[in-house]
Amino acid sequence: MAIKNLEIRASKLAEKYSDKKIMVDVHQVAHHLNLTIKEVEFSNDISGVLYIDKGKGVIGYNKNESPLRQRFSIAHEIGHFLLHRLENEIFVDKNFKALYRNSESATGEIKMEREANAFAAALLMPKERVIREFEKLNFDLSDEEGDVVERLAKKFKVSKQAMTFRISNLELFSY
Amino acid sequence: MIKSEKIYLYECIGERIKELRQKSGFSQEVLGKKLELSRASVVNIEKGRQQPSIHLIIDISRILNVDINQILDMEILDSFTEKNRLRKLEKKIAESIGVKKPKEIMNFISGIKK
Repeated sequence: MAIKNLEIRASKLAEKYSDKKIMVDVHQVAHHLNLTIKEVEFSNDISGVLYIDKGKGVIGYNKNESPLRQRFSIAHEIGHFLLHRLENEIFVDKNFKALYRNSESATGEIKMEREANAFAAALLMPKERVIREFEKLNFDLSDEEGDVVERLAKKFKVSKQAMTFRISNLELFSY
Repeated sequence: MIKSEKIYLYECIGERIKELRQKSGFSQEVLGKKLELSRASVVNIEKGRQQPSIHLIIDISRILNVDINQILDMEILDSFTEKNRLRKLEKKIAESIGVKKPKEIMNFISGIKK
């Protein structure tokens, strides 16, 4: 799926399943897609798993990670389900530390990981919504860049790091 | 069927052909000759690397003098498939995904089925 379609698909889902039109309810999105979500006691290098059995997907997320990271993991696995469910029956998503240690993964897998991350970002931080909130904040206060990112991250219930990436990808600070 | 399911299916059909060939007392060489294929092709079919067409499976069943339903016995194939699938899944998790404790993931998977 091209990045543009991916953005559209994610924002449609976000539109439907959001709390006060800002925070996306990933559990509801998963439910809508007939995905089951389980909290699992994984060891600390595993953030999330998607397993597909005869078309039906189950997402497991690491119970010991922060709620923000858990939300991202669930969104990421939803991305795998929508984009790659015909490619593989299992997706195991390790946190970044583990990812860099294992650089042997095939290029195809790296591409799928990137796409799932892009989808997760688009779902949790829909483009139009981020731009709207960003402009509101910039209008309301003459904050430092860091503060704007922090406020946005809180609003969307994502990590500051995730919001920083998103804003830089949307090129908001270069307006 | 998704890609991996197809791969497992052909591996199981191959295993089944091998079993029936050995029961009928044919060597890979002889079976190959009768099919006008090389021994390497027979090896590949039995390993699931080469996917036999329907007419080839019919030829094989005639040569081995078994019913085609014995080769394509879905009950046997399904049980092979499930066993192979889980074994391979665990290997894949350990190798290509690079997870140190594949058991953890396998437990998650078997927990779902209950």
